Amino acid sequence: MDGALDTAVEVSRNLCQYLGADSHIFEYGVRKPLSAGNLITILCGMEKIPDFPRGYPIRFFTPKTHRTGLQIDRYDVDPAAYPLHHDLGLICICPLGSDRFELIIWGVDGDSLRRAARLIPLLPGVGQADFIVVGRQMAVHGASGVQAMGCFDYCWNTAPASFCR
Amino acid sequence: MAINLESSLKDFRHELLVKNFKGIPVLQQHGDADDNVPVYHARRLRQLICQAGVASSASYVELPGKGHWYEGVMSTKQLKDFYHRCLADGAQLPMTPQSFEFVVASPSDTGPRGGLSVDKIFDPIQLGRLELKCVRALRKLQIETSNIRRISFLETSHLLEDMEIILLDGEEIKADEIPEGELRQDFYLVKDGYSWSVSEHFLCIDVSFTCSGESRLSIYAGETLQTELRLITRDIAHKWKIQHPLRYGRSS
Repeated sequence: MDGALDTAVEVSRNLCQYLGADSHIFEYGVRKPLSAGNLITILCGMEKIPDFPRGYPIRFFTPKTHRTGLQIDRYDVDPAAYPLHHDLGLICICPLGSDRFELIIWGVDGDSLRRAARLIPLLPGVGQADFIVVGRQMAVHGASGVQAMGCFDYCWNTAPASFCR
Repeated sequence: MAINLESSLKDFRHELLVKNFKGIPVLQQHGDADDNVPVYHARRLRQLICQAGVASSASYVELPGKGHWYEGVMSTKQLKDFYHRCLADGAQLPMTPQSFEFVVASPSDTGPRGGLSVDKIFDPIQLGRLELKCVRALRKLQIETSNIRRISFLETSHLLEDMEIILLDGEEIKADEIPEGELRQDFYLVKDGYSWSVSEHFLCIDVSFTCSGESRLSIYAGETLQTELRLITRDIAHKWKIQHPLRYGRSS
């Protein structure tokens, strides 16, 4: 499972250490997830892209002439598109229904996955945007190096003030 | 981008939420030799509480020479006296003020005030604000809101007792449209555009055929299913490449 399993184990350990929370780790798509509780999905690689809920404003797309890319719907303007290059990662929260949530962490490779996974909220008093598209520049510039960052409103539209480079 | 970073932290910007303290017993206790969280922050919060005019139920204690944590910090005389005042037999819970301001940074992190819950806000970047005034002589509950989409009254709320009218941003809603007891959990007050109305949890699907042979599928959903309905219709429009957005609305 590439770097996904190592990341999942570390996340599980951190959830226990900092939040006293239990977690089950299972392989994506092999075993049906539990019907109660929230979900953290960790995926790595261009072949293993997340399955977003219907109507969710973030999606992976494959246009006819370009490589697969990441697309984010924006308020009142055309969607922002990010081709899948070698340092792209994503962390975002999705609805699962029945007041449950899924936190999706994806990276095009192991380094990108680890970069995105560092943004999993584990400490109180630290805010987090609802979605962040991470890139290599974050290693140098910190928050200024994000590709996109923003929040969702009450019906899962991207908020007008969301930032997309 | 700075807006998004600032907005992510607004749940913890307690200086913006001080007005929520009105009528709630508060004890601040802080060691003046705290080198972890400097006593400046406690003094600043005390200053803001006084400036907001909510200090009548709030008290402040500085512990000379004490640091951030030491054995006995959770059982000082001042704390024990506070617990006894609030929790002892015969202690009365403070009444909800007849008028108050309610500031909400994130509805998911904010509990109800006087049994009134702010469930959703429009713009997640901004704060949601609500000013409530109970005019008992006129049996009217007056509520002014900013950036708030949905509110609800908990079963235990006394705000609607003896009220006939809820005046929400100038619109009149009859208080008896909101039921008593357990039934309240399915009723919400929702702002759609510029007007408020009572909404409940329901789903209705209707298929109709016109004389020309066209068929129409209509789905009506109460407030609690609006989000799911929007996601589904948006997905259908995207997959079928429909030029005009599917129209949906709330049943009258």
